[in-house]
Amino acid sequence: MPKTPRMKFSELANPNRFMRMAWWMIPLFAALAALLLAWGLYLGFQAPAERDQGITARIMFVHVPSAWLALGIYSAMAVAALGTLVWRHPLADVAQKSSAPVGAAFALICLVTGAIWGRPTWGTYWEWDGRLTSMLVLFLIYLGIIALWRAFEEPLSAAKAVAVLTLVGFINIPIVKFSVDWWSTLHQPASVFRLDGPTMHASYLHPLLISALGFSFLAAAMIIAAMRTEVLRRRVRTLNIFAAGEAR
Amino acid sequence: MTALHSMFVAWAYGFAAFVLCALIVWIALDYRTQRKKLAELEAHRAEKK
Repeated sequence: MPKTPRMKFSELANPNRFMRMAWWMIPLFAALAALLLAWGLYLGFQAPAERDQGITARIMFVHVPSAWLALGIYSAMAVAALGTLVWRHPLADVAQKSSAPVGAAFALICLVTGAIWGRPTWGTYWEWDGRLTSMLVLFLIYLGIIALWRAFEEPLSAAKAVAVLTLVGFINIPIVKFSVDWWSTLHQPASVFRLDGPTMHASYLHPLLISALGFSFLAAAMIIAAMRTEVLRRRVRTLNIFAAGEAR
Repeated sequence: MTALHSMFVAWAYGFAAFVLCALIVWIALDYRTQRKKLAELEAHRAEKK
């Protein structure tokens, strides 16, 4: 019988099948991440110093991909939240729980590298403007989601509460993205994802895109590895409940 | 000026490397802990049977 897309989707929902896929996906994605990051950062450090910012512009190759990933991972978590609440996909809440610390790490890297870059460029580490503040709010939402997961003992109850919080927090994503267009800010406007095409010179654009792809593979490897651990954690929990039941 | 700018670049990359390495170590240790717990529980169940 030919496989329908629905059957393929349900196969992916099988934790045993996921564990088998994770076995080869984690080392493959980690290797691709190492290669792409080495290549992207090598090209980036070969690029000529920027006219106004000098060599501090090289912070871009870690700051910008971190910002994209902090936003992208949160958006994926919002889709997973729908997967939990609407489609009841068995791995949706596992994916959501495992993604939160990775997204938080990239949001933190974005904030700190941005502050370090801001000092020589703007003359200040921090400014309470739209872009910086909304990015800080995104980081705090990530921390709130991680704390909410830890507040519940039962994973299914936690999953529903976290899914609602994730969907509410998604309001912040377009605010981060468009804050530079809506309000006056020290932060420069978008220079890559624009309707009229990137405004950045190729000597910076190519290393940036390669680094971003490398960081994306690294994030994917870390999320899949964390999901694999979460599946094991739930098996441990189930066996402990069985053991407690048998002991009575 | 270039030396000062190099320091800013080094701090940014150093911080990013530190956070990502810490996260990778945490994920790896958590995996090892859960695998050990699962192996112990399965061994305990097998003994009982």
